[in-house]
Amino acid sequence: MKMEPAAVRLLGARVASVTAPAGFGKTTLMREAAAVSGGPVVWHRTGVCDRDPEVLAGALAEMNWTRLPDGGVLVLDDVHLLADSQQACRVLNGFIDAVPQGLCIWVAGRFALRLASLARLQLSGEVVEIGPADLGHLGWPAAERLGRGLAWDAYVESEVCAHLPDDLRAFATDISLLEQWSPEACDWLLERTGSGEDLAHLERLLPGLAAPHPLLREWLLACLRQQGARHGLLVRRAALWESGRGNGEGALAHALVSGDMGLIAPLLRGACERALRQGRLQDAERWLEQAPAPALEAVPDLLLRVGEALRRAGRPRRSVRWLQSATVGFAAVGEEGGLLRSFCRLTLAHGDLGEWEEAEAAVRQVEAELPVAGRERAEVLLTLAEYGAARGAAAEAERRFREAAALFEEHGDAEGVGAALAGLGASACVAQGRLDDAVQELRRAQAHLAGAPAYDALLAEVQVLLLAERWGEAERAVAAGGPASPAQRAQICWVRARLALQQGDAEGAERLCQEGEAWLEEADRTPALDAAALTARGWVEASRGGAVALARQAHHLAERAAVPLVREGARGLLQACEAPLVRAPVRVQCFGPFRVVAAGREISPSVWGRPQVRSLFQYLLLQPALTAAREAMLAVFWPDESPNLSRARLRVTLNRLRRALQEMGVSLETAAGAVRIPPGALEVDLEQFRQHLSAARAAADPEERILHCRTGRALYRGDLLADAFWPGAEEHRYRAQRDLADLLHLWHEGELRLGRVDEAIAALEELADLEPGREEAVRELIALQLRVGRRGEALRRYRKLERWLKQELGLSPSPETRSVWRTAHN
Amino acid sequence: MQTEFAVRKVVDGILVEIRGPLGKEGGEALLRVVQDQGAVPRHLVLNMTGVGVINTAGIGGVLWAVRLVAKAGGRASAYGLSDHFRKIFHVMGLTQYLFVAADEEAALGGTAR
Repeated sequence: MKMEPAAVRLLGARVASVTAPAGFGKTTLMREAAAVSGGPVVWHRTGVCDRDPEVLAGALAEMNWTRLPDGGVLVLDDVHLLADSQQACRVLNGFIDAVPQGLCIWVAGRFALRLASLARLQLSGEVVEIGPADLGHLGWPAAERLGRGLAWDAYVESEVCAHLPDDLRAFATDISLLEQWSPEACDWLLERTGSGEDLAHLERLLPGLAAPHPLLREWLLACLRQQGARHGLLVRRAALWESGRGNGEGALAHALVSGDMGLIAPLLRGACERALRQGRLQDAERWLEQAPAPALEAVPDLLLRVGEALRRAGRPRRSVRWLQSATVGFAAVGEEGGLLRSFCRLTLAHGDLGEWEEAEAAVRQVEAELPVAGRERAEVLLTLAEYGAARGAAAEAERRFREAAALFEEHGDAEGVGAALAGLGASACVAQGRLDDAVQELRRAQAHLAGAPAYDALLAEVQVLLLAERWGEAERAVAAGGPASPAQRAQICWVRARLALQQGDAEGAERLCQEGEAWLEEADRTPALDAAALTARGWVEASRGGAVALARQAHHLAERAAVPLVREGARGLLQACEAPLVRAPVRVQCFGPFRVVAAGREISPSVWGRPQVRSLFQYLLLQPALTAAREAMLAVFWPDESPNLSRARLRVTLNRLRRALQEMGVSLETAAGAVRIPPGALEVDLEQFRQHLSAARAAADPEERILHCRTGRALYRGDLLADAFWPGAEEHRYRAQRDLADLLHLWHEGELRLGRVDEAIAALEELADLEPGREEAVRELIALQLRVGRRGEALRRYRKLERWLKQELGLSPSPETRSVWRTAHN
Repeated sequence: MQTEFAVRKVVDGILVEIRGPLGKEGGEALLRVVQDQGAVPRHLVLNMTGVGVINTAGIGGVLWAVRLVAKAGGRASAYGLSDHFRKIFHVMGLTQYLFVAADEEAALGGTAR
């Protein structure tokens, strides 16, 4: 049988002192050791009566120790009971001194007695001392065995606290409110001094338990609660003490018990705001649940924030509960602005719940109450913009986001500016396919935000960069650290999985996907998050050759989630999965920065070798059917060289181009004095843009027209071959701009046919910015702006036209345009 | 145009007929009407047939008045609400304290949820 180490030590001791509080297993230890010792054991359990020295002497004599052979053991248990009797201690000293060397003596008690005989033996190193640390490796064995309940209560009452002096017991009961028993805390709580001495006394009488042990503290606290008024007084002071130490949460716990509204409300606010900043939404909600109704009514703005945070965490039902409580608080103090704000958030929450009829009615109400100016107007606009973006009215949402951002800026509300810009980027721009704009707005948003909202905006930026296949930037952005809730951590893992796939690391992608799914288990689940999880898994499965069912599921869920960013991500996956399994063409981006993407990776500029090789490639891209005559290329790139030299240069350049294209898996064909890239080998955004422009022109159905215009507009990421300056490049750029202007005009016509004036205005505004001198378009824009009451904007647009015509052409606006202006002026 | 109130006794409480717009002042006035009854009525019935425009501040006043009745252990009902405002009341949480009835008879017999 394996023995406890303490028992082994005991067996080897001639004299042993076993000291530990009640219930630590002293007696059990000595019985175990005695059973193994093999020799005779004589046991005396000290009682209160042994305080009488004559009684004790008689009891010790009855042990007949003089007749014990060598190796026998004398056990004296519970000797602490003799602490108050000096005479009894003298008898005990004499006894210990008289015991011959051949016998062992084990002395046990709850605390060490001052025995001169033991002290002498300790000096000579003959005493083995066994304390709570040797016995308490399992904690407090009695507490473990008895647990809570009547038996435990009886044990603590009779074995632990019964021997405490009354004043010390009262002291321990009073301070049981404190988690840590320090002299300073106890003095403050009890408004006295000298607690240090009492604590030391307590430690002597209850060694190891006066830390305090949690179960002992709990028992004492139960006693304190029975004292009614005293408990109320002390719990209030405990709340103030913890608050003064900066332990807001501990203070709040005490304040909630005290029921003191004056304490609860500020502590509730402090603790909840700290929890919100740290992303501990569940903690904030837990405290609100515990707070009484009057305290909640005093903090409606806090309830609004918690409600909104719950809504953004995808818990609309919980969100509605706190937002409705916020309305009660705002109604109580008659704060109109707060009522309108909470109503706005309730509108969105009911939308999130799918209660669209109620949400639509609420939106109409909000629009009717839209403040004319100020921060309140900004708040309401933000709500309307978010709702509009979720419901597909992206252009109108964009206008409202921008106005909200401007208003928040006027009022110095950085958080509001950030929220508006983040919504503009992640919702409105993404929904309209303007991914570069989305990235720009999300970066601007981050400059105004801090903490968790800033990190949300960063995550949105990374997701847009992935949609735009700007892999390098996405990788750099995701490396920036920040606060991360389980939902954010899951999304980071999925982003990294996607980037790993781009680098050909399928195993790494799988690992990251699984890690994200593990974080998902800890997050608050929302349709959007679930859709993002399926999309991430879908990309990993797609890299293995098939994930159509998964992609469809992700797409279906994403449509329900009504979050544009998640929707576009799932749509991209579905398109990739449903496309025929052929070798993906090389994609060329001519609008904006010139990029070539092959096998999912951006081609480094160094692949061209020389700038002229790249220029020649760009020239080919702009030719019909990607075919160019040699003579034409000679005239463009080597107009002044001799024929032989220019042909030689062309030959060398074409060879270099051929090698560069071969690395991408694209061939370069030459035949009959022409050079061409085979059809289908490249996906060129310019070609796609032209196709959508043609389709928009031909479309009779306005919805179809708008779709082609939107898609075409999304392709136009910037000027055509912005950094190309070979002869003729500028002309192509100009023609592309005209095409874009035509596209925007078609778009506005489509929107007007559907009665969507705001969307039509947005298209015309862009057209007017692109071609400020296109007077008929500007005139049409002014007329529409006047129609919807945007008089100031109409006037500004007229002035801009007037200035442009005068500066560029020396002309004035036409009579038709002046007539429209006169109408505005009147 | 000011909000006007006409109060009449009903079994267990009062029926308040509201006419005109219900904005912030109207909501506060409604609360005063309820408080001026001496004791909080056991049953508060609101006839909203004659109410024109209601804004969130006015709804806030109604909310506070019906909560007052609910806290005192009473019940509140309303009738004459348009479909639009019935939905608005639901969004703002009033329907936790207020039974929205189809007509006066149903409102007088109704209980707050």
